[in-house]
Amino acid sequence: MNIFRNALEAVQWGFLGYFVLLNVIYLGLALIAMYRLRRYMGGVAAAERVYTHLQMPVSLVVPAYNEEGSIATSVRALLQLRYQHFEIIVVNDGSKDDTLGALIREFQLTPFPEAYRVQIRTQPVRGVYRSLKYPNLRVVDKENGGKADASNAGLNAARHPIFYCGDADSVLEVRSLEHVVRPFLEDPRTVACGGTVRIVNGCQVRGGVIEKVGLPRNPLALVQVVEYLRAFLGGRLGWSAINGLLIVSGAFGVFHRETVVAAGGFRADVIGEDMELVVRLHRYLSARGQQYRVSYIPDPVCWTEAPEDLATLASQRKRWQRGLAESLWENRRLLFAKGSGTAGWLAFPYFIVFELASPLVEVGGLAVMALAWAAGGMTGMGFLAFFAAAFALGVMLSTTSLLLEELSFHTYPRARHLLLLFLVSILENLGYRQLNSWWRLQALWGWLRGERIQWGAMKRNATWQQ
Amino acid sequence: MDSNTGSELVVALAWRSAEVAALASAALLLLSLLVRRYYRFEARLNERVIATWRPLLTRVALEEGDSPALPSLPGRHLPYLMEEWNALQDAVRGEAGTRLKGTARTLGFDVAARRFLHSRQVGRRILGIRTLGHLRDPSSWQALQEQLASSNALVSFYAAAALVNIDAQRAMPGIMNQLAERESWPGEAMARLLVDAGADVAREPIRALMLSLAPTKIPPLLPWLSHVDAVLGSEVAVELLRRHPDDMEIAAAALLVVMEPGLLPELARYAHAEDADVRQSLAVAYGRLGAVGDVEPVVQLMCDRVWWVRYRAGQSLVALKGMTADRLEAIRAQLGDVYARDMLEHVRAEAAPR
Repeated sequence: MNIFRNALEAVQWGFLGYFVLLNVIYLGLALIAMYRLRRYMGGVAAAERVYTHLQMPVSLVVPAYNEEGSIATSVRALLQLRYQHFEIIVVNDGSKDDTLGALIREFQLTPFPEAYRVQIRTQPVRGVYRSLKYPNLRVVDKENGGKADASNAGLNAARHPIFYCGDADSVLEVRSLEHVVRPFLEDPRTVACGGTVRIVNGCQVRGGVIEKVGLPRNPLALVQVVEYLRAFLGGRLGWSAINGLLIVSGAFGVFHRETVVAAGGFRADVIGEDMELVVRLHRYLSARGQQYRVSYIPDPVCWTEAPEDLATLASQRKRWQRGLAESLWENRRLLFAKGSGTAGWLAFPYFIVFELASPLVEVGGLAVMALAWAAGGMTGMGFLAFFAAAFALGVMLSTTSLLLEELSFHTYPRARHLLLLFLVSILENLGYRQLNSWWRLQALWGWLRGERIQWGAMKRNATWQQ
Repeated sequence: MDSNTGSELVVALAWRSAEVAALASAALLLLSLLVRRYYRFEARLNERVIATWRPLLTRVALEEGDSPALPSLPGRHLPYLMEEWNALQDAVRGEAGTRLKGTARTLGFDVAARRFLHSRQVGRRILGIRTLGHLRDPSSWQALQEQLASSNALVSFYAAAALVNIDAQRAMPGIMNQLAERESWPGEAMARLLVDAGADVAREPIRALMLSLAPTKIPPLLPWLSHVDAVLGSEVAVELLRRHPDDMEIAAAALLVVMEPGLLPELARYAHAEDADVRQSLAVAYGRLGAVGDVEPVVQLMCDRVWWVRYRAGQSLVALKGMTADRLEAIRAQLGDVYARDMLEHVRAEAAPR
């Protein structure tokens, strides 16, 4: 009986210690983010006056697979971006529908005798087209190889020193490129830059431009608004301030082309090629003793659709967890590597302990305590105390991100939006968070067992699109 | 400590953590609401200040004679009005600017702007710097010199612009020192600043700077400085190529700004450089300076192993002075290298009218 009690006590201490430490780190990151935001917002108008007219040419690489119905709208929205020097390279990744035909008709494409250079090997390219209507639009038609392979083909065709890679169905802010190239102009050591991604559900979009910001009615999408605020404004801004950012969102990332090519481009054999690339850039550059920065700008640059049903959400979260596991495993040599700085000594261990293993601790800890309570080894009040601690710390963290949002861009215009988001940050701890941990645990288990996972089709409602 | 006590302690700690976190959440929410209220208040104040003062400042700028009666200016309104005044200063020239400066002095902008230089807020400091620059206030020279040395690139850059506004000639040594020491100023903006200072004022300090810099610092600066004065850029580039014939980074930068066609035969030796950037810059130089007589070296560059060198050489071949479509066709027919032929088709298609 004593052994059982001692073990239970150890689990309790471990559980509490883990949550307190996790939240202390989150709060630390939030404080760094707050400091950075204050400085950023204080000088933002002055910086815009200097940097707005300085534009680094950017290649926008847009992989497309079976997007016959939406690709023209996506490309038209990109063509509206307020930026002088950019080219768009749409890569038709062997679509089974008439994606290429839709592009040819809409943009008057004509075959182009491109001297295509293969810097990164991809599935064979069938042809290159250029638009007679838009001089900065080209389409690469290739055999199917997946998003990473298509991105690499776009990278081979890209002419400019930095490139954007994102989802064809994301909505970019018209000034997003102006914002996101600034770190490259300010610091030539910058190799990658991400920006804040927001949830488009509940907003009004016309012709690919956000007309009115709002909150979604769907409760699942609403919770994801808070999640995104927490992840982007708290976590990523904090990590980027200490050059430990390991994730640049797949929905919006801008990279230095030559560095990415030298590092081998996107890997087609992993599920989270965007995260894997960023972790690999850290490993590749630090191993060479090269000075570099992975930056992040807090400006909202991209709006993406959040899943509104449990099945799609579960699939997305499993993919993310699997992608995280693969990225960390494939680049494990970054961990505590000599010269790897914050990325190898702080961010990497943090991601292993508090991101990769967190579903194990959350679900495992809860299960052990529930069992102990059921077996009489723990009082109901004791069980409740741990649940209350995890619950309240979770709420506190989400509320911190609401404060960061208010200190910066206060995108959501009404006070009731803020109150609703606060309510959501309470409610997300009652089931949603636990469900998420369960999905992530499943993904982790699947990865450990070597199960194969497919991207699958993301179910999109696009009710915001007009 | 026995097991029960340990267990009670951890449960008590869990409760305490929950209490602290719940209280902190409530406080954070309250703070968020207050921040939102504060920003709304500030936004409305800004609108009010602009609504009151924009017509007055416009009258001052446009109408000669006595200034209109000015309302009292509470301290809180000052930064908003200063922003508006600076925006107007950027837009006007001549007498209108002089009248606006008079109004600003009446309102005590010079004193307030000097105070702003000590603010911890970057935005406020820059506002002070811009205001002093627009006021062309020589008594602020020393204070602005100190801002020029700031570790913050933006503060330093605005200080440079303010100093140029006050006395461009006198500002040059300090600005050139900064150019030599810091890499954080955006090159294009810096070039514009020197253009504003006037090529006559900037020319000699630039020449002296470029010829005295350590070789590693030259390549990023050279292309931008040539924007200030292309002829000077070319002269400096030629001199640098002579002084550092084996420095490939300098060669890559200098070849992009050389403007003397007569030098092409001498520069042709860079076609064998190991560094692809140098060969690419040489290809670009042929396009800018070459004529049909230079077809042969350009075609050789089109057979380069690096795509970018072939691409730039292809573009240059099409752009050579005196080049015709028939001549291009004849060159294509004779090209034995398949990569060069592909590239020529590529650049011809790119250059073709749509």
